[in-house]
Amino acid sequence: MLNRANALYCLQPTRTLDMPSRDHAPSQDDMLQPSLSVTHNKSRAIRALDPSSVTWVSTAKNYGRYENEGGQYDDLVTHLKTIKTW
Amino acid sequence: MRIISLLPSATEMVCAVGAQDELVGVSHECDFPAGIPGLPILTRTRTTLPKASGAIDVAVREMLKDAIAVYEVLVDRLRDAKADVIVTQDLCDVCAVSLDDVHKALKELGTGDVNIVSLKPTLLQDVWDDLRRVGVALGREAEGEAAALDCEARVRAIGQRSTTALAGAKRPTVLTIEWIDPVMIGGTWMPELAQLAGGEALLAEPGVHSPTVGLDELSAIDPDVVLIKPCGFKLERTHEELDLLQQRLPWDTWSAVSKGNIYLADGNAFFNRPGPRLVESLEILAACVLPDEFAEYRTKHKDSLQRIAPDLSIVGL
Repeated sequence: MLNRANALYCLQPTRTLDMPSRDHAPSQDDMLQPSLSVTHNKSRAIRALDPSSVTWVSTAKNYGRYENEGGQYDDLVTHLKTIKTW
Repeated sequence: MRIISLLPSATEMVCAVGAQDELVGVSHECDFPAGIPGLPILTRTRTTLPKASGAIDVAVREMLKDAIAVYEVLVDRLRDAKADVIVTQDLCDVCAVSLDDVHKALKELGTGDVNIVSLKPTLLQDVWDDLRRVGVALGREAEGEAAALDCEARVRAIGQRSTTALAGAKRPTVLTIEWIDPVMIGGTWMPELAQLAGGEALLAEPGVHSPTVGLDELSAIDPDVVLIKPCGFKLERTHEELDLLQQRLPWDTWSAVSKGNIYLADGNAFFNRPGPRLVESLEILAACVLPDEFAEYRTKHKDSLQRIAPDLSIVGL
């Protein structure tokens, strides 16, 4: 169970920064061109990302709700309640 | 609302309409999107299936012949889930628990007030309409409509792009393989995906289940592009059966082999799940059929698509 709990901390982001947004998929030429780090580019990158924290919280809630028969996830449930995501 | 999904594609649809947090049970095959782990698993395989493709096929055919279900619903867990809605399927007894199994389990529990949404898509439009149906059933009609419109628009855009790129030229012929031993051809929505990707599907009709073909029929064609994406197999699993390709396919005569146009794709995540990720499946197929036009999809799906050399080694895209 300890390993399972630890596994919650190892979740990977579902998309990586270099993955193009589906709405604004760059052409091959675009990808070969260096681009300035401007607000527009950052906004675009943020839209292309699913925050890994959302996934973490979702999985953590599942374990807290359905896999907590022995109370091993009580601390986790308390934390989720503290951050108002329970 | 308390929602159960007994099908991986249905789970993806439930999440696509924004109801992931209302899921209270899933099938043993549901593994996407992230955040599913930890949910109660309500189904299992009735017996341990063998590992090789040919042996799996024999075992499953025997079970179906004897009217034995391949999967079963875990009734106790179904009771504990206290579901309001169950999303399941009536398309394929080999894919997931059947609709009959679900009805029997609910009858056993004496539960009659559960809304069962049974999906049976055979064409692309059926899949997008299922997204709408799931949305309506979950009280998220607007989200279902938006998700369906998004999929339709993305698919249409790729179709228009491939048509423009072809500029009237002959469409490359495409063979998609859904199972290696025996060889089954991608049916149902696969011919439509091939058409949208700029190709012309061989040995398959839209909306018709996968036909099983022999070496004679395969030797009579010479596809320009071959995509192998065994149902339920990730890339690593398919790698274990690469040797079979030379035995089951006319490896020495197909020009696609010598030209390096034989591709492997993750058949577990894509193509065989009639849900929102059929759009990504189309992107993968488009990257195989018109590689110059859809070069960005090769980059995007580099972890899910590989090319095979004549000597069966995996080569770069």
